[in-house]
Amino acid sequence: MIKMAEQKQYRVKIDFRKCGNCGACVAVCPTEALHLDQIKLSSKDENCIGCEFCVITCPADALALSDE
Amino acid sequence: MNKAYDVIVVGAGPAGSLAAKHAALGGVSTLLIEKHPVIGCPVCCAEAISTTGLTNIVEPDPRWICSEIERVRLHGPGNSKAGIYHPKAGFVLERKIFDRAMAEQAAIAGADVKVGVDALDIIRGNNGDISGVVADDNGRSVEIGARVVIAADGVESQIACRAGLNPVLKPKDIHSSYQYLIGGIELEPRTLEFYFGNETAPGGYIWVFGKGGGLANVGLAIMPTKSPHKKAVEYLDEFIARRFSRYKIIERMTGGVPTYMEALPLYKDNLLLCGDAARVIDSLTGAGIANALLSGKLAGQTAARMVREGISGEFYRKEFLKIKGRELKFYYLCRQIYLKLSDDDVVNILRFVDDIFGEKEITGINPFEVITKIIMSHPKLLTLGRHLLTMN
Repeated sequence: MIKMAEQKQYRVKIDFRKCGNCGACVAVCPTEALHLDQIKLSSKDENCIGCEFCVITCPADALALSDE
Repeated sequence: MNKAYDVIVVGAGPAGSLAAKHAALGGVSTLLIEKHPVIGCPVCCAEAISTTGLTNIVEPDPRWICSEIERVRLHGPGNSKAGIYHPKAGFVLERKIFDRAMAEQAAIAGADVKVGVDALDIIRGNNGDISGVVADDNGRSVEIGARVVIAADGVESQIACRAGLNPVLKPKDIHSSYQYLIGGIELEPRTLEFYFGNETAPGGYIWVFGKGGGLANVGLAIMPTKSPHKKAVEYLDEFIARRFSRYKIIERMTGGVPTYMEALPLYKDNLLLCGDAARVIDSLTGAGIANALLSGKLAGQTAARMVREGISGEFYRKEFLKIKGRELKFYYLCRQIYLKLSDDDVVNILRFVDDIFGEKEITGINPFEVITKIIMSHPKLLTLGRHLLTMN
């Protein structure tokens, strides 16, 4: 049996006290793992590939990734 | 399927409202949808615009003009500075009122306006063309038919992704921006202040745009790849503590400022993009309102003709690039040069700018000419520019 390389499951942690709902993270996310609706930002963690583009781009230090 | 329209415009910022207004004026049924319940809120904008950028498209109205700009002060590292005195240079707007006024104009022109409606996806008809959008209408899923869709849904445009245009930005193609509205400060009236330097705002700058009555937009944009760990908000907090002894923070806002792309995503099939969604930003200054207004107007006019005369979206792309193509490319090149400047280069440039403008009264500035002059007289910039041009 071939064992597949284990793929990490990332989780996007959003600090809503800091998030300004600007969508900068959505604009740089290559896999549509982030969505900004009428009220707030949400993440679709199964899409996240862990590139951290959103973390780097966030002006407000509101995002972090974990891979537990 | 709910009621169908000839044209649906997604997003009621300045680009979307102008698009809806001009589509409606073109005699086609038009719907303007905005995902937020209140148009003009939240504001993600420093709110300054040049006189021509505004008045070429919209008649100025004191209801949404906070301040008229007549002076610009540039500050660089080591207390270097330059001043430009240019009466009637531009305006600082009150976007909350401006955006609503633009949506009102769309409604007066005949467009339907609906708030709390978030366009989630496009619908494609049997022939492959876009035939409408799927939207969350205040919690209810709806399908709205349309013959032309205009996406003016901002930097985070989802419609463009769904339609197969690829506007996803790399962190090097976006500026991270943070801004406070502060009150209780004293500023030189009718003046825009800019602060440059790699310590102050790496790859970007800080602005202080007075709005009158002791209020100002104080914000900054940085290139995130130049500072992956220290965030925009930290640079801004440090600056405000240095610049103002007493102030009150009234509002805070964050933003992502997209950069021009070589292949601007302006249209695909019967989908037109305008404003930040189309990345029609002046890459050097990050200014976006004027290009948003123009792109919206042209997209709206084109959409009406697509419905009535069957012309292609290519018409919009050509018209927009005829007016703005060269300028957007030029500013993009300038941005690439700017990103490579050392603090000493900035000091030299400010000295040069001050020599040209000093405190002399300027009646008309052609930024093209000024920047070309700056580049031509600095061998390093000229070499950089040549190098960047040959790379492209």
